[in-house]
Amino acid sequence: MRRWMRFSAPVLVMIGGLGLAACDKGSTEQSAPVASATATPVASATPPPAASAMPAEDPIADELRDYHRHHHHGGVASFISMAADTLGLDPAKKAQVEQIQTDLRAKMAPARDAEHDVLATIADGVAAGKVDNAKVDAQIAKVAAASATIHTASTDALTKLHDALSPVERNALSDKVLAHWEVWQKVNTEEKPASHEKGTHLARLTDVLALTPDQVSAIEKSLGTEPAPTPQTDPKPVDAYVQAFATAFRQDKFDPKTLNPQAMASAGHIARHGDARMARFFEAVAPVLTPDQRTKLATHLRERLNDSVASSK
Amino acid sequence: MNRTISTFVRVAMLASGLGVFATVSLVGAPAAQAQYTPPPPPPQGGQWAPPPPEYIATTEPVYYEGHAAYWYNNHWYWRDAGGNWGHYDQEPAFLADRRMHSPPERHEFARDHRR
Repeated sequence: MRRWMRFSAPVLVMIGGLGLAACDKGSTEQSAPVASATATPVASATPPPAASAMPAEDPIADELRDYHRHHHHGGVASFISMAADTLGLDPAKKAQVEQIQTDLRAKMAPARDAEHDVLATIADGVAAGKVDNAKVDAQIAKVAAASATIHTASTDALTKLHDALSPVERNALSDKVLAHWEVWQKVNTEEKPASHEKGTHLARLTDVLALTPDQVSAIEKSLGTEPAPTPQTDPKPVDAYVQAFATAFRQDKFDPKTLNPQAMASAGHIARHGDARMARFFEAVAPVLTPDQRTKLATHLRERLNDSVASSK
Repeated sequence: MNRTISTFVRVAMLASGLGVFATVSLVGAPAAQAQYTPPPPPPQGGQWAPPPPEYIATTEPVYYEGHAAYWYNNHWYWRDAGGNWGHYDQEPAFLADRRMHSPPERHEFARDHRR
């Protein structure tokens, strides 16, 4: 009995220690003010920690990445409109914001129609086995020119949107605009065009079209390395514009005209860079495909004309 | 009989031991509350990692205590004014009720929103 007590004493101390730790944690959580002490900072917002990488099995995230690979016409205005889609507003405010989104999309319509021409030309080229580069380049220039006018044309809509939202909703919208910009960069500047790692454009196409290893190698070789950014495609001015918008939109007073310098400095960059990258990708892919694969990919590309926000219907 | 007594003594000692330590813990708790509580280390598996941008861009938040809160990986996350992410260790009743009865929607910008 005495011997048992001698051995059990350290065990009791250990159990008690565990109890001490558990009770301390539990009491902190339960009795501290909810907004501060139970909300524990876990990471810096920018850049996101590596551990926050989206699980590969998230089809909605895959779709969003694919969306941002194919639609660039509206630039930051598209991000704003898409952000408004997911604010989780009450029905009355949602109807009000949808009306503003309709105005915003009307301002983007010329750029959207021009981008439809780009997608249609690429789809036709894929079906034929060769994309008409010169025609696509000319069409991309038109998208960029139309896209460059959107900010100036949208100031009223942006002001109305700001005034319609509460401070917390404005913060949420700003966060979402930054999120869209982050995703756009991920798939249009950070992802190497020739990469076929999981989640990349080429990997996705490999799944959709059942590309053979030889076809993948040929596409990789054709894509090579991405051209260095030019003053017209450099994403840094866009980043400055997006960050300035997100900061300004959170304030009680918001005047979109104060963002004109950033908007002008980045005008058309997203459309020019994104559409050119997309065109280069399909120009490399088209000659490598079998007739059946061409037909399937052309159909897939024409379906992108009906994507939400990008649709003209 | 001796075995019965021995078992009783063991149970009594365990109970009293836990009771003493639990009492010490509870007594010590108020003092701990007044102090800064540093962020806990990320647990294994990274389940406290904040939502990635794809999730923020596609998911409706729930507005609570001046924040847009996102339900992600079994925690509610929110971003403070400085851009840092926070999470609730214990799910507030309001958010739990909302999650149970009217869960936030996710939007598919391509596939299901074609029109």
